[in-house]
Amino acid sequence: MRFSPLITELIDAFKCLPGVGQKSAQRMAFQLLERNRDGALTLSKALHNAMEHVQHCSQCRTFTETHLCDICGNGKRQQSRLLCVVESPQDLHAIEQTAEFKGRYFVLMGHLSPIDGIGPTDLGLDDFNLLLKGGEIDEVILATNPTVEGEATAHYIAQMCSANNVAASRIAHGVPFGGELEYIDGNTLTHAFSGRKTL
Amino acid sequence: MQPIELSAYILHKREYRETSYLVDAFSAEMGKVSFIAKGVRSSKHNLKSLLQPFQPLTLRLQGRHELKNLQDCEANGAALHLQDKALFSGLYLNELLNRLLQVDCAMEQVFSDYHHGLQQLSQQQAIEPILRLFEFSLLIELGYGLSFEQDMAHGENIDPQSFYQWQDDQGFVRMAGISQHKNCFVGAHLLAIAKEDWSTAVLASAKKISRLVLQPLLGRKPLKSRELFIQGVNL
Repeated sequence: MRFSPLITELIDAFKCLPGVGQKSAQRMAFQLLERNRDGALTLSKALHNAMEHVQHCSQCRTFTETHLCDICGNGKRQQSRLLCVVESPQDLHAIEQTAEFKGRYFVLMGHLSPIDGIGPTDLGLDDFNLLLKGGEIDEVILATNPTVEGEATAHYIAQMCSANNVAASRIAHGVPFGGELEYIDGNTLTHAFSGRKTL
Repeated sequence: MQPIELSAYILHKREYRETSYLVDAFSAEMGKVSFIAKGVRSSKHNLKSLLQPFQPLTLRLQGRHELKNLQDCEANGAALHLQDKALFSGLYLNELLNRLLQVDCAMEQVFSDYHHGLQQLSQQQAIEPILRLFEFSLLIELGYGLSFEQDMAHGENIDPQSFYQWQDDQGFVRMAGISQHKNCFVGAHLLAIAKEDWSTAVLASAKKISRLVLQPLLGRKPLKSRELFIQGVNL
């Protein structure tokens, strides 16, 4: 038996979500039709609004519906001469949660990955270069992920910084807080040793 | 079915589903091999730090199809720590392998050259000779008879004084007369490459040769890591 055209359309639309195949899409569609039409309408409105209006912040490239995001629009933070570079808006959020960092951000929306064909221009590094040349930044903190691609990205940006006489630092990586050395993998431990600090 | 055990390096991985990776690896026993690493991206999984490029691995894979499943993996030595230009060069080697390697075709010599090349890169040795030697060894293993000592078309040894031209199906062919053009090489340079006797001029010729020979294999899509390297150097 085939579903009616509207239901089929709904199921197909759900399949664009990550990790959702035919079966889950079907389950979602019928759940909403049977039990939660209000929720579904709210969802459709929220989806529509977000997709129509959310864009990249013109300064830090994170997602926002305004021209400048909250952080870039905050005068106090704009005066900070520290800039933190992260790979994704989720990373930015994680750092914001710590309330430790009071400076500005730059969100790359990915990392350099030659095999995937992602180069510096895809990460908005042209804009970043202009930011460096603007002379408002004293130090760039490179908070890209501790993966090989993340390292390559950090290194590339560090080179841009040194060409512009801006200091660049990399976040430390090593043993997680509250962790036990016994259970930590060898590579992380090696990093922890090579990045040790004198007390 | 018994799992297959492979010595391998990760070339590239993509996110797949919620918590898995789709991985391309280069193995000594099977050449390029692709597999799914299930659940590895979840926060508690320990294999995340191992499934990285430049980490020698022993993989245990299962499955009859071309796309295998990762059953287990272990470090086969310490990860090679590449920095600066060496890191970009390592990414270049990976992109090259990812583009040129064939599935299910043992490549033990290339594998050992790759391992050796990465070690040299991690020791901050001069980059260009490492890359050229690896490219040439890869080309030879892929079946492109690259001979720096013989002119196959004329059936004679390379003469240091003569000029040679690269031809895709014949290798280096001595040119009649002494007229030079942009894709010709002096015999002395070819012999120096064979002996790994590098000077700036020889390295420049070697680079030109590797570009010429790789060009038809890579097709129209340029290597992104090469662009990245050049942009990085020009900063």
